[in-house]
Amino acid sequence: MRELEERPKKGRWFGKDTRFGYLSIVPALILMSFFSAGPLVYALALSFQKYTLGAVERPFVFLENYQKLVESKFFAPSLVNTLIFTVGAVVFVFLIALIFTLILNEKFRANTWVRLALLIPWAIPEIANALGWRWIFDSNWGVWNGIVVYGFGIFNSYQSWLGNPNYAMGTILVPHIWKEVPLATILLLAGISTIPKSLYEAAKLDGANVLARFRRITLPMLRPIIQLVLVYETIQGITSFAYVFVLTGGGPGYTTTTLSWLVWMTSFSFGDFGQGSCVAVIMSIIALLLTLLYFRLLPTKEFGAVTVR
Amino acid sequence: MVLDSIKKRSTLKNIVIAILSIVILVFLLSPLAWMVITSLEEEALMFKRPPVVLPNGPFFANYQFIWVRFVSEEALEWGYVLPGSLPGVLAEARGMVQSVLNSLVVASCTTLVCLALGLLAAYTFAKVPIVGGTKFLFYIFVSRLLPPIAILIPVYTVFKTIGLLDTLASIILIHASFAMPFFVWILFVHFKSVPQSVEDSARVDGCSRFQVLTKIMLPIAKPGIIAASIFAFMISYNEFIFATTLSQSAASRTASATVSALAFSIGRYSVPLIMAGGIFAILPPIIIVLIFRKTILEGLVSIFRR
Repeated sequence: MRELEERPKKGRWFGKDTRFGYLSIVPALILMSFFSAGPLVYALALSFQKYTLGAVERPFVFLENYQKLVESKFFAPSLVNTLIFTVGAVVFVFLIALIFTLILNEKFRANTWVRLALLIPWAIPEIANALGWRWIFDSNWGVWNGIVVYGFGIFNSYQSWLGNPNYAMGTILVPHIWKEVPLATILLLAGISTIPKSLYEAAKLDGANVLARFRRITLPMLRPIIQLVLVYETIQGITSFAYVFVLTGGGPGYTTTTLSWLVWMTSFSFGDFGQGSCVAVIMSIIALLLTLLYFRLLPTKEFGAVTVR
Repeated sequence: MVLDSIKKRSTLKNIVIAILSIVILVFLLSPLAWMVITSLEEEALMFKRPPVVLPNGPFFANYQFIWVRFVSEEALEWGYVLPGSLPGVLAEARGMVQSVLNSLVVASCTTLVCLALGLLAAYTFAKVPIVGGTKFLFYIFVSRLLPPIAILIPVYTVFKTIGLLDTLASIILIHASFAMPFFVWILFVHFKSVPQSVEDSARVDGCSRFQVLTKIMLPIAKPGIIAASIFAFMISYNEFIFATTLSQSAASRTASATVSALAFSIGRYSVPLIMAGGIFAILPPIIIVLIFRKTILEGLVSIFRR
């Protein structure tokens, strides 16, 4: 009976199960096709056309948009900046979340409250978060300047955190990391709570110290969730937009111009939808390649037995 | 002796953990706390070096303004004018309550669409063997992993052509497509973890697939369904790029879109009022998260506990 249930019966395309199955997934597939995959194909088409704001005709220019984009002075910096932002975000979010996980996993009464507090940054909409941090980092009256100047005395005078090319990228990473750490911590905590205590006790009896137990038990057992977190954070890093949008607007110069900001800037500031679509297509290709790479590296089981070969 | 030293060590350990936990709490809550403090500042008194915290006690006029303007359009005519604010900021802040209501409608509808379409799909992907099932599932995941901003221009162009701009429906459809993969994935894992034997015995007893789903799967996967729904809700509430671009008038703006408008409002930069608007916008999701805290954490933990 089980054998029969688990395998689709060949030649029975119109069996009851098959009909139920396809009928139940088709609505979701249609939604995804109309509002995610479909528009992307359309973006590809637009990227071959000369399409500016208010234009009635959209002549086909093939690769001209791409050529212009690659030759433009923002393209190379935006690739580099996206890389810096994504790598910085993934590394810091993961490390901070891991440290938090190890602390919060200890038996301690108040930790229930801290876990509750984890949900709060996660629940705050990105844009409101960005707005709050813009005020915190304000160059004239911001509390961050107050802390580093009057509190710690690290600087003698107020700094322009968002206007200084040396600090701007690091500064916009802070709100992103603050918002992303909680979910990563929650996921890692969920994972760490499934590791059997007996493993640690056995290792303790064998004389393994804290570090050895962490390296030999915690890390390997957490591996699938670590990978999941890394995939998720990579995608969040590449697609991050709110903080550039609110805090720096891509500046100073092009120091914080990322690909997602470039899509916005070329489309809505320069009014060149054709070229904006180019950036969008290139960005999607990068995200897609990275994702496929991750799916290759991941043990397929952890995506719920989705085999991707 | 030995017991004593163990006890001592565990007290020391507890103190260290307590300190570290406080550090984490400060990390998590201080930015929000500063936003709240700022929203209660009196603008005339707040620009100081070093920064001051509420020199004259909390000043609620910023919230009052946002609320009163909603309750009565005549509030301005009563002579209710906030000191230090100019029309640009006023216009944006005025729409905040309306926008929060819009957001609640949009996010709830997004969740309903996800429930209506995603529940069945997740069940089929997990339990019903169909040709190409995993391929379709992969297709749904990958379409989420693409950067949303990449489809902004096509969606804007198409919605403009078919006249769906400036409607809540357009925003709901887009948000549902963003939330769907997440929703399907969480439920897929939950359904998958239900032992095949449960399903088989129900089938032998003559249940149809649909009956298995409604009578057996739904009760078992309840925490997962609630967690997935809250995720969908949050994704919708959080999203602002499409909500900003697709809505033209204040009447169809969501809270996130209004906060974004607030951030770039023309006129003098009234920080406390902007912060009050921001706090107002983030209240609903925070309340929801605090209400469902247990289910969210449980729903997530159970993904990994198989």
